Amino acid sequence: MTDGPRLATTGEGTGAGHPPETANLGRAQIGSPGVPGVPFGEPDVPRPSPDGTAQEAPRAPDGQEPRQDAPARTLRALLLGLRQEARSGTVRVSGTPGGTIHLRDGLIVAIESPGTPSVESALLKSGRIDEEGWARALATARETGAEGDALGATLVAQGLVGAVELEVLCAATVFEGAFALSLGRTAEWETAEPSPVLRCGPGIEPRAAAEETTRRLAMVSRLWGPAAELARARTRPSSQAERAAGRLPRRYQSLLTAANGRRTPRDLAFVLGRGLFGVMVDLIRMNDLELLQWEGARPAGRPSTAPRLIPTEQSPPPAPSATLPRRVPRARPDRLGP
Amino acid sequence: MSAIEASLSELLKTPGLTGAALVDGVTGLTYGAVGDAPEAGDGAETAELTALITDQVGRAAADNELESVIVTSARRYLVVQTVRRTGDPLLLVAALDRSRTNLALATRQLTAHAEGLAA
Repeated sequence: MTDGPRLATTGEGTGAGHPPETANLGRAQIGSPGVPGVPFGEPDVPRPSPDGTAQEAPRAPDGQEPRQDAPARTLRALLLGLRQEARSGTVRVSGTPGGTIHLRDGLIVAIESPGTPSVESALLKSGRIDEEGWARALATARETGAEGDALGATLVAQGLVGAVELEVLCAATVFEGAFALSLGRTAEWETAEPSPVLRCGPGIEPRAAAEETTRRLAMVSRLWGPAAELARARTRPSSQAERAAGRLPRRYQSLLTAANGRRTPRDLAFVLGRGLFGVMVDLIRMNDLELLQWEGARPAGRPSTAPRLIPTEQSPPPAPSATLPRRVPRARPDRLGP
Repeated sequence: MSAIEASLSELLKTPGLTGAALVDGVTGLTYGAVGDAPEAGDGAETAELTALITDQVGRAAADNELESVIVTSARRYLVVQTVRRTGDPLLLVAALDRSRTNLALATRQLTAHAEGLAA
């Protein structure tokens, strides 16, 4: 269920397979500013680059460890490279929202970002686990010495959450984190030794995370407009929403209750302990059902309510920017200028 | 093997069942798949189709929530079972060979499995 014995919870021990490279990981390796916009989801990013860090093809001609002489140009390329080298560690991404990507054997086991709720926040906010049970599990996990990595197993062992449920939640949060990171401008990143984190399951292939992020960005763009703008939009129930309330799924009802005209999709995600993309998908669908009104003007160029089962890439995405007010995100302490 | 795949694998004992997947009902993300995975279809498309049907079901009557979608073709069944949980709903998708499947029995087993998943 978990990965191999190379999973270390401290900085030591990860070097077994790759002594020189793992040692390098400890030194902060500042990524170049990279491509602004959607570094995680950019579909054609890992094209071969002169510095030799972005390809997937083996770079070592004589079976040596691949060298990382120059920093990767994008986050995606960096993660694919680290996967190839089966590294365990932490990638700290600065910027807005920024976040921390946890790797074990190159697989993404967790992404923590202020852009979407963490697994812990989802477990507590949704009421799956109460504070008391959480504190107890945390204490037990601490006794075993590896609080972060053992916490997931402890939660399952104490019957606070099912193994499948926790694994679903951990996987969902990794993809939500990747999506949240892709909405911000990624200024730079640095890699560091592994740090303990709540995780479960084998982890996610960076390639799968990148492809899914690309799909998500394309889906929001197709059905609504630029995802970064939806992330800033504030919404409240429309006059029709109340009449329809009894006939709506509970998920929509709780979104309508929480949407007060001041909250962005990110705020709603935190209030409800749900993922950012999941909230966005529901808001788009609810908008099509005319259950929402947006602060300022309605999104313009909204496509028809007909579901698009076949992607229509040819049609240009609608441009709600024309009428939707651009909100300046509130300054957060973690914010670095783009 | 992940806990998700281990759980799905139990379904492969169901007579006629050739493939199964666990899909996020909102985001369309496939959490795991066993057997002949392509037969269970694309997770994102399944979620989109199910969401459309969910809206219809809601319109039909108040407090009415979708439980399952069964697609019958000449040779196969595709059963999409909603897994209710505290968080966003999951979809348990199963592909079945029609000639070897007792649909009533299979859907009962899927329902029971879905309840176990949410526990």
